[in-house]
Amino acid sequence: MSFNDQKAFLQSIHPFDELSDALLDELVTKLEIAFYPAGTSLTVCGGEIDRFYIVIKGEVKVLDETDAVVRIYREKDSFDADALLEGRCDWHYVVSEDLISYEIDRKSFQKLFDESEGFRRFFLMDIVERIEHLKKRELDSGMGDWMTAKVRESYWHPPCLVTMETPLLEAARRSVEMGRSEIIVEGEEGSYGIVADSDIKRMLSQGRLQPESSVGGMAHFPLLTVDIDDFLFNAYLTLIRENVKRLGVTDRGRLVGVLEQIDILSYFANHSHLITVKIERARTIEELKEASLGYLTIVRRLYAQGLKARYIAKLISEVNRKVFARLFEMILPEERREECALLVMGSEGRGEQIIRTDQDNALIIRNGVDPEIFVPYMEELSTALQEFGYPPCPGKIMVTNPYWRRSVQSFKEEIDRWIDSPDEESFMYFSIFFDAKDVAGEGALLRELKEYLFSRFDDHNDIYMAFFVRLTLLFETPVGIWNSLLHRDRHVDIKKAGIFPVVQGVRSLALKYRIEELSTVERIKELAKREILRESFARELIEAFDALSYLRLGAQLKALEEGRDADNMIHSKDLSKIQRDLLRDSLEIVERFKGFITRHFELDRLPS
Amino acid sequence: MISSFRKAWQKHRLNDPKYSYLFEPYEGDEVVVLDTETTGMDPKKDEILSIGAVKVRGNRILFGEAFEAWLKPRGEISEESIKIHGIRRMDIEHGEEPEAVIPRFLDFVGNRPIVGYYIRFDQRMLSSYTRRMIGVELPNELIELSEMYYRRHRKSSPHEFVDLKFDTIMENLDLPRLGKHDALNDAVMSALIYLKLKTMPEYKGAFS
Repeated sequence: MSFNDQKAFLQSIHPFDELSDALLDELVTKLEIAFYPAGTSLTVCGGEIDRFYIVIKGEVKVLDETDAVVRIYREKDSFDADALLEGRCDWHYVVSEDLISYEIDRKSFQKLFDESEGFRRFFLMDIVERIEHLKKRELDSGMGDWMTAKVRESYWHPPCLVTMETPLLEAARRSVEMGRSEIIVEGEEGSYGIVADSDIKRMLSQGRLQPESSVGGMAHFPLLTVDIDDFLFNAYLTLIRENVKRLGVTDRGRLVGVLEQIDILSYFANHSHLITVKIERARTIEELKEASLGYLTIVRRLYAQGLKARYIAKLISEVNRKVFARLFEMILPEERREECALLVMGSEGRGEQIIRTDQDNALIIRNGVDPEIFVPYMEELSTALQEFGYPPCPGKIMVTNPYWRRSVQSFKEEIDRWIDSPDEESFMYFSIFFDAKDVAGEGALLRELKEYLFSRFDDHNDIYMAFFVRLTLLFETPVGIWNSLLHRDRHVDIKKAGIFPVVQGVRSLALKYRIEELSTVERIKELAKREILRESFARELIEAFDALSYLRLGAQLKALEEGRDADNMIHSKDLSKIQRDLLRDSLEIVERFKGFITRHFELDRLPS
Repeated sequence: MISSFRKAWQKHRLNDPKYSYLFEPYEGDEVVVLDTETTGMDPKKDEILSIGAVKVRGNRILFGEAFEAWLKPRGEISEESIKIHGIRRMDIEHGEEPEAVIPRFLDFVGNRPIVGYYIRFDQRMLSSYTRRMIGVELPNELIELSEMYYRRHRKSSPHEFVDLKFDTIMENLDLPRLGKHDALNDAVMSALIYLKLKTMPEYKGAFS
């Protein structure tokens, strides 16, 4: 039946899938189908909008007062709930390709809104929450595996199990042998108690410690337990709720192990803390390499769990910095280490490089020390990094290049040159150096250079600043074309279209306002704190940046899986409708940010 | 002139004064787009299996108020019709008696112009019911989609061949199929064709 066809179509669009059957049935009886030839204005800025549109076919462009395209709607997109609810519309809607749309009048829309919580929630959410919501839905459909992991699959330890009568000294000796920090006491009828190291310490400090008395009297009963086939997640909740550090693991009522809070956390982070421990304990470059190569597994796992890209990046850059620092210690003799500072720059410096796409690094050498001394060390370092999976920088921005291995004084001269005779290359050098972070050696050397760099910016540098900022607008941000390309395969360079504009714009603001934070997200937060960006917009920008990074990471992981190089291309055919919405919303915010940058730096007054 | 005479004659034969509104001149801005599915192509002996119709106001199809009905046929359904419409005996077993459907249909259509694809056929089929029930043929003004399309599609010569198949028209006008072939879906698609054609200029001849 035809009504069912329309119902099915609606149900395929989020949030209409949230409606109950009865509401959908009623909605279908209110539905109108309209046709508008290309060129029709649906409403003008400040005008009224009295219907809710769902695009069946065609395209609608949304323009602002200056006729700039704000977004584009295509198949299965719908608009504009905000305008409908507020009764006023801020944009100009123009049909750009013959439009066939379903339409719902305001009253019927309001009814859906009032009667379906899921529907209402979707439209009431601001953009930040919407992105979250879309991401969460995506996760649900893939079912994050950490929700389904069982205790059995995690790392619990065999218990140090003793009887009630065992003397404390003997029990303690056994637990030390087993490397445990607690003693489990078996009571009557399958009940268990626990004596933790901290209990022993407390007794010792209170002078109550009697090594010969039996442990039974000191144990806390009962030990909280979890069944071996229960969800790990439940075990975690119990730990938090009961505020304890350990749980017994039981198999058909019998104690088989002890599960610690740290075990659960490390399971969820999938060895991420283990990897840092391994890195710190590595004695040879070979061991370090082994530890460092595990990073990709962590990234995959965290990505699959839907962890925000910025947290993944944070974790990974921690790991990377440890690798750099450890390698530096292994290669450089101790007396050389304080004569220089090893820097990571660019995305690695900002802590935003998740997949190792290049190594941008440099070495600052204390004035008066011969730079030549460091040549063999830097060669060794760079070779090791390549083996660890950091591809060499195609622009040779590496410690093996003498240009990036100079004294403090010589770096100052280069900074002067970058600023005083700018060209394309020096803009780039300036940018990546501006994002530099010291990972090993004498950090004061970098601080001195950063101070110098900021001091070079005063009122006379307006022009340099303006050109630096203008790089933000270098690449077009394709607002809208991503909406619903069901049949066409399109691709976009997500770095050029979305990530770079945010990084560069935020970097420009950081330069202007002397913000020392390095990561884009931290810089945005600082800009909001200083009221340069509106709080709400800062939040949107952070989420948009995160969503773009997350989408890029997804594409990079897929490329690696298929044996291709990880690049920045996103293909529409690889995206779900939800991801396309995510991309569209994020690019829209990037476009608004570009507008902000243009106005803030008065770029439209600049000769082109 | 002839048509108004014919209309007057028809009105004279109307045997139920309740339906005299069908003969009033229409002054609103709506049309009804309809499609029927039948047991065959001969209005004298074939029967209507289903009727789908929608009102169009301005550039909008009032889909929610659509008319959709299944009729219980008296005779057998031909193999051919089964193939064309995908309707089987069992599908129309819960169909209604024409005596219940036709009055509802007439109330729905009123005196609005009727739009359709080869609409004269649908009109004849419907008229064989109305003649029996109220003494007259369906008197509404008819708008033929294939003719509207032809007038706008013909570019050069009046002798040029224009493919007037329904699916070809849909395709050339770049309109989407909404669901499978049935009376209501086809009525909705006919309405889309009508709306799109209305926005396109007619071909007036090479020298006008």
